[in-house]
Amino acid sequence: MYLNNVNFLNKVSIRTRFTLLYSIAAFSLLALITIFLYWESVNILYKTDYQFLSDQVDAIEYALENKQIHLADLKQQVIDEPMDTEGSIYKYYVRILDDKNKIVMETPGIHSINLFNPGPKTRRKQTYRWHSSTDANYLVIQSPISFIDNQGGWVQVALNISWQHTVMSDRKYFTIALIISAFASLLLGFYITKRGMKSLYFLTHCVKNITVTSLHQRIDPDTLPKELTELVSAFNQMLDRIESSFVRLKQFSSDLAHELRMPINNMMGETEIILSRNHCAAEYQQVMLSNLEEYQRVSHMIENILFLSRAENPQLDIEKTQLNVHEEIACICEYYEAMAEEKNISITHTGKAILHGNSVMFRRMINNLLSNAIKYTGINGWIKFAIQSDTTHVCIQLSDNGIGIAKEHLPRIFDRFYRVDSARSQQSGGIGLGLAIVKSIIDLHHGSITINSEPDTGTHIFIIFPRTKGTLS
Amino acid sequence: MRILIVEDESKTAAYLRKGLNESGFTVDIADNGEDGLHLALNHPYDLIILDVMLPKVDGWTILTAIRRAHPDVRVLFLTARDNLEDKVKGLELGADDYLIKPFAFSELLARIRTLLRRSNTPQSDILSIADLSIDIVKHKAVRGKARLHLSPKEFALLALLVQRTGEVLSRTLIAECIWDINFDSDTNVVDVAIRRLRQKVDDEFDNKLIHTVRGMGYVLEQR
Repeated sequence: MYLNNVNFLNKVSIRTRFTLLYSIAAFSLLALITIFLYWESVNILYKTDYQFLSDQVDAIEYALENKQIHLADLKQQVIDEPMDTEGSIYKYYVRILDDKNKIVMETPGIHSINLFNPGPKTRRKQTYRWHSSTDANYLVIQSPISFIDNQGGWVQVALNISWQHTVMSDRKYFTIALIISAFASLLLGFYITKRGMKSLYFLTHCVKNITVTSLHQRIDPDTLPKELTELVSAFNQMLDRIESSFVRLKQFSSDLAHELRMPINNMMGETEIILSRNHCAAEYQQVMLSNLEEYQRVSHMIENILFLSRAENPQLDIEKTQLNVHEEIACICEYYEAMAEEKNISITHTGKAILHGNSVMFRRMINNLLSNAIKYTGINGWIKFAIQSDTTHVCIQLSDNGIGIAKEHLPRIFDRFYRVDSARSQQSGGIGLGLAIVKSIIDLHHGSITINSEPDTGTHIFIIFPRTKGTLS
Repeated sequence: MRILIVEDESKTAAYLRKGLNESGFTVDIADNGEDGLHLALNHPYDLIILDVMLPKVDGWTILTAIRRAHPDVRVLFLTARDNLEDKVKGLELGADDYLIKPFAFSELLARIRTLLRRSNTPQSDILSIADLSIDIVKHKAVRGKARLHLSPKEFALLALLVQRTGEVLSRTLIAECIWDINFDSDTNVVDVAIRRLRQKVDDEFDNKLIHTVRGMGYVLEQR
């Protein structure tokens, strides 16, 4: 029986889940950083190229705007310097046009680039990329200039950026780096998870070692990480409960066997003896009668055990009605009236209450308690029922001034077949199931019972029931 | 009086037959549901004792068939199934009573007699045996010439014993009839009550009427 529904995700092991989640997180982070770095490199390259071109444009503008054309300077700027860059990665070309797009001066070889002419209307600085017919990439700045005679014109500077372009567009290394990091994070995730789960596997191993025969074993929470200590202590507590009910169950079955063995042994013995020789009818009758009494005892015991086992069935749905607590108690008091009078015990009950419960079970509970009280209260004693109720609970207090129960018996008083004094109980005909039945009836009504007792002074029993259906908080 | 027992457990059936024969009943036995149903439908019985779990045809089915054919015959269920639903089901299907195994034979006998009495004419208000007479309506009991001073419960107990003169009444049955204690309880209470009743009814008279049947219960009769 599983307490929760299981969906598909829950079937994937924690280890796989952690490994995957860790790898995804690590890989995403690495990929992001890589992409950012790539993007930043492209940016820096562009900025450097742009700055270089700008500087060239500025130098030419400076030469032109000096009001006197130093042709030598201009030649230096437009032809010589660019020519010097032949073979370098900063290979660039310059051309100067007048306002009719007639070439004034240009770096030799610029023809091959096939730069288009600036449009007549747009007199502003422009930057663009140019893919030439020779299959090379250029970064171009085109800027309006003015000559000495205030004639307008253009300067175009083109930088061959094919190399940068080739380097940046080749993303092979980035891809390889990403693939490697993906594998690395997967491996790392696997390793870290395995390490992290080590204590969990250890715990599993410990739990597996606990069997029916070693229920006393506990797991030491100090050997495990903090997250697991709570789980382990909860588990240990569960083991405590299982162990105690297991011990009870074992005790119960051995007690039951013992209780059954006694009457059956008696009957067997008596019957064997009477059959071994001829006896008179009266003797046979005597044995039969004695056997009948034992049968009744066994049958009585079976009835009580059956009641207890049924009461333990969680599916048991008992029929409940509104009960007048004082009427039910009065009914049982009346039943025991004659018996109490014999011992001159006074039985009184005070208070009234309404309770939602099962009438037969409630009477049975009161019956068992009262029967005990009368049994263990001396001549001229008293037994008092006090019923109290508030909006949420009904409290029934049963007090007597009987012989009481010694401290050491109190914790086990509700156990099946537990008897404070077996010799006395044998005499009084009890089979040690009365209080166990009381307890199970109270449990079925979600109530609670406490017994306070002082030997030779008396016993006080407090029973608390919730008034409406539900559990007692 | 003719009784049919449908019971597959042969030992139970045998002792029931013996016990009922000795109590003056004619008894037929069927050890499976099919035979039981056949007998029940084709012979006039005053009472049928049915087990629920039976080979071939179960008790519920037999009961339904019997009720259709003979609405007046008394049916008593005798079974080891003791949950409330089964009991309710049995009674709803038309069973007249329901007894759970293990049971005391005296209890079964008392119930059978009650069931068979139900169909007879009601008893009169004044009942008498030997020199004891009781008036059920006026709650008066007289022994010889003396009026007996009884508490209401004592009177009820005496009335029960007188009404069932000659029948052995078990302690459980007495507790159930007089105090409405229909669960397993301390039956010493009944012994005490009977002892007190005897003090008032029998002690002063030589002709004792209330007798103890050891291991079974009490009976009121003239011996």
